[in-house]
Amino acid sequence: MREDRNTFPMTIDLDVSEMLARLEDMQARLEGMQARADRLRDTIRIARVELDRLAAAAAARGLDPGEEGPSR
Amino acid sequence: MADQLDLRGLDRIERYVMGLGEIAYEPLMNEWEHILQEDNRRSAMAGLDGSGQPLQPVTYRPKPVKRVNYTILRNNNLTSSHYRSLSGPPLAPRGERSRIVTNFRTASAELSDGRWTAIGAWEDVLSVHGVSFLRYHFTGSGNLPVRDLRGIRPNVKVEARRTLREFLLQYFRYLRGK
Repeated sequence: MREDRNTFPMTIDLDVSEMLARLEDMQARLEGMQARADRLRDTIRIARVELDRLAAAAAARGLDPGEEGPSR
Repeated sequence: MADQLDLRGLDRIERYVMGLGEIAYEPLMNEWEHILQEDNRRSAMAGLDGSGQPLQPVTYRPKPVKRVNYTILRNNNLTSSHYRSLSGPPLAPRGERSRIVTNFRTASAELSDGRWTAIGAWEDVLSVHGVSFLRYHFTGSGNLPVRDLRGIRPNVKVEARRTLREFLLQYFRYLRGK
């Protein structure tokens, strides 16, 4: 469309820039949540390994895993 | 004990949010251009101004003319006798073949990130001498009554909002199904 003085433009405008900014913010927060979930997953994996190790040690000592050992 | 966290829900939400930020608004803009075009045509034929109100009626036509000169003059102008013989609405003596209909152009563009616009305008509606004369009708210059076609009519705003809502709802449905 020519932008000269023969035209009398009328416009319908759509501004979603604020929505985009908020979505970007939301995306950053979701990425943060994703990172925290990943860290939590690592923690669970480490805890699982540790629990397995403890269970194996308890079994070696003739204890039923999950049962408390003799008090000293 | 589960050693895996189920993050599929979070992944889905993240994809949804990213999808919302990547909506392509071109189809909506095309629709808005069509709305502008159609509204211009319908309003011209109904003799409405830019706010949807009736234009002041013309008084010089149609009049009985003994001999009509049908010569098409420069810039698609007609002779006085030809104009006087026509019964179309104000500013649209030739009905849908009038220049306020045929010379109405639309376009759309993304102006900046997230800011879109659909434009409608009359191009090259010129007198025999090449003067862009619509402005004189729009402002009521000289003895002319004001017949201002400029403006987004209320029904266009309603229709633009309706199509925006429909467009977004369809997009949301598409994203949820992904």
